[in-house]
Amino acid sequence: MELSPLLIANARLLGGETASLLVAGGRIAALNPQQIPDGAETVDAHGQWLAPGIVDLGVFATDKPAFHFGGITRAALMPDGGPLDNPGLVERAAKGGKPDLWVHPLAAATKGLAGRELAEIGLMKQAGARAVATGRSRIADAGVMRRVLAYAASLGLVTIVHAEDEGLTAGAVATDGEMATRLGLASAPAIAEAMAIARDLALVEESGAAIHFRQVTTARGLDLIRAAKARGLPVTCGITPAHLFLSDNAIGDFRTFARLSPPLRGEDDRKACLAAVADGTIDVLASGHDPRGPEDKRLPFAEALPGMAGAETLLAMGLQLVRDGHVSAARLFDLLAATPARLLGLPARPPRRGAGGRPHPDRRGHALAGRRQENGRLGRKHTLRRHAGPGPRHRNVEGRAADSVSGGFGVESGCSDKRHALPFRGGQRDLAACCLVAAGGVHRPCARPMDPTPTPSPEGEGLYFRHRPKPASPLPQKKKPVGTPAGFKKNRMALSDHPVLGSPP
Amino acid sequence: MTTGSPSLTIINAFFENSTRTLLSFEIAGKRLGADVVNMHAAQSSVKKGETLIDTAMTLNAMRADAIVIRHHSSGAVGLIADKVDCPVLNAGDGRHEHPTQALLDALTIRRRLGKVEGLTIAICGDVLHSRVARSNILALTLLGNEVRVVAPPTLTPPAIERMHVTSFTDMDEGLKDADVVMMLRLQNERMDGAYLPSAREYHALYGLTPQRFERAKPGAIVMHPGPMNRGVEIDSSVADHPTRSTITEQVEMGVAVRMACLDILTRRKRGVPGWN
Repeated sequence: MELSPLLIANARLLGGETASLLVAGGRIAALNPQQIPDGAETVDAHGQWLAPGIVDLGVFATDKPAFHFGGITRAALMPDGGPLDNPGLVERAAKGGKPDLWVHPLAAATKGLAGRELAEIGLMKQAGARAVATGRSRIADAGVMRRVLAYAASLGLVTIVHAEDEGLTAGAVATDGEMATRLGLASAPAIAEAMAIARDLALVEESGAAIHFRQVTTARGLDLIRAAKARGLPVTCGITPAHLFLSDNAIGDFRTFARLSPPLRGEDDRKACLAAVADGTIDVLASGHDPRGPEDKRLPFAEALPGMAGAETLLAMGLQLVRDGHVSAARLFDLLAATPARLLGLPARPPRRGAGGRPHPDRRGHALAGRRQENGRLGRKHTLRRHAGPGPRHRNVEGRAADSVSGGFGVESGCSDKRHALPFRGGQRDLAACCLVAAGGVHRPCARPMDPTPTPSPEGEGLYFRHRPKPASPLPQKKKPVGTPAGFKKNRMALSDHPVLGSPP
Repeated sequence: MTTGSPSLTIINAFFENSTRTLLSFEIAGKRLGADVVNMHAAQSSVKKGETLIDTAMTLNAMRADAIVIRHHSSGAVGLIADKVDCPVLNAGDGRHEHPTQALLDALTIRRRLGKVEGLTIAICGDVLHSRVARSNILALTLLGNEVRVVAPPTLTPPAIERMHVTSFTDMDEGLKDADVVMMLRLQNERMDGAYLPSAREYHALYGLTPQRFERAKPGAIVMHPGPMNRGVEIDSSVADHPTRSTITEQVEMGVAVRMACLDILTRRKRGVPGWN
């Protein structure tokens, strides 16, 4: 089915300039087009950023509503569910997101992820696997790991690894430190990560195979990566927003939602991670989306399962990095989209001019993860639920993605309705502001279009765009009863009248 | 709890095997005239896969006036306490805390030495896995004592200095001029090579022998939360010392402290004036 042409007007490119972008046939046709083809649909971005669709490197569940909400257009699925160790499962997983989300399965490095025998990596590549991964744990046997690296490299695939030494971390649920000691939780030293990284780097140095450490969360681990990069090794590493914004203080009071793998680190390590994002040591920001329900989290800390939902908040937390001056907007989308796409061998690149040259017509897969910048600050704050676990933990964040077009485009809503700022789950994304575009170029415009006139923000943060007010319902509105209806007895009993709890005899 | 008041129901929910603490809480409740019901995990629906929260809701629905809980997982008692309306007493949760033990230890020290402040107290043994040690560190540092932790490096918790204690790996050094020597029980499964090479090596390096005990102040007391491994962490001659061992007094004070805890925590329920 042919996509109808789409013009995104008044968009801010990541380089900073404002431009209009014409999309035709699913590709970028022109920047600032002179002629707009007939039948082209126009989306006014209101000066919000036009950014590539996020490529989330390493999720544990295909959670489409969460990905749509978060502006994620492509997700690399970790092999743990299944596990994805044969071509049939990989092929099926690759179809899991269609038609409006790309799922790129990661092939299990070993059969059953047991870390002993090589899986059919070559056949899985033919079935659609984009990289090899070791899953939630690392391959303990260095001999097996060496063979996996060499084998994957011969197929042109990056090996994505988890870095924790299993001997040190056996039974541990937290990082060594004051918090773990006070809470009486079994903990492992943070160097467990550096030790695993050191072994794998030695293997990389010998074989020349490309490796990606999915989460590097400690200062020592990052030092090793930094040194390896300086030596020119084909090494990249990633991190999740949780490890950038939370330290092990978050597990105080046994908050199981903050039980992660690897566990949250101390404050010094967290700061080192932020510095490593800023200096370019960390290449990828990924959600590690691993939603856990109450069955997995409403338990004593050590019995709860590790993991946290993160897809909805990935962009929002990333924008905090921009706000705090750790990265530029352009670099944020390198972390979120360009580098993950490169590691997976995908064509997505950010539309950037001046900073990164002209957008190429072959660069598909862009989303408007836009937001407005006013008074030198990023726009209105939204409150997002940070996790799917127990205990509401809210955090003010900066903006969000509002829309994505089948690998595609979207605009930030600037929506004043607080409900729209909450993550949508279970197919409720129709609630999202603006328009959502399903695959095949079928546009679904928002029932409530944006009001083009900006309104002063009640929070004093400049102007924002709001939705036009809802049209008055033709149906007569039911009036809510006010006060206690006549004849309604107060059902509250005074404590002193209580037969058991009342005053003692 | 005065006699003649309506009887209260106290549930002892023990998700981990215990004899002396369970008995101590049961006797404390009964001396106060309460109806005490014991629930053992082995007999309960916990074995059938019920979650802890569901168990807590069930206990809550039975309208107990106080629930005493021991659980093998750190933080589990707090999790239950969030879900029930009545007072919850922590009888030990994992490696986290055992508050009534700390209170009874403080009471024992006060009865023996006349005060619980300005003392030097050495807590010796498996501190890593000990909730007794953590609760005692919190209580005794709060009361203004110098607390030392004496343990092999494999059984010393990380960053324990952050709890305002001094850490020693040499027993003789750690006991020097101590007013109180508090021994901890060493679980048998720790001695099989995982944390320690053997019981006899532990005894040689960290066992409380009469010679070692001499390094403490004259008149220093020795405590042990029980049950003891005689000949491993403590020699019988020290454990049975007629004047300096407080081990039986600790058990006695345990009942008293638990009676006090149950009394205070049920005062509101009993409508004692001033406790609303």
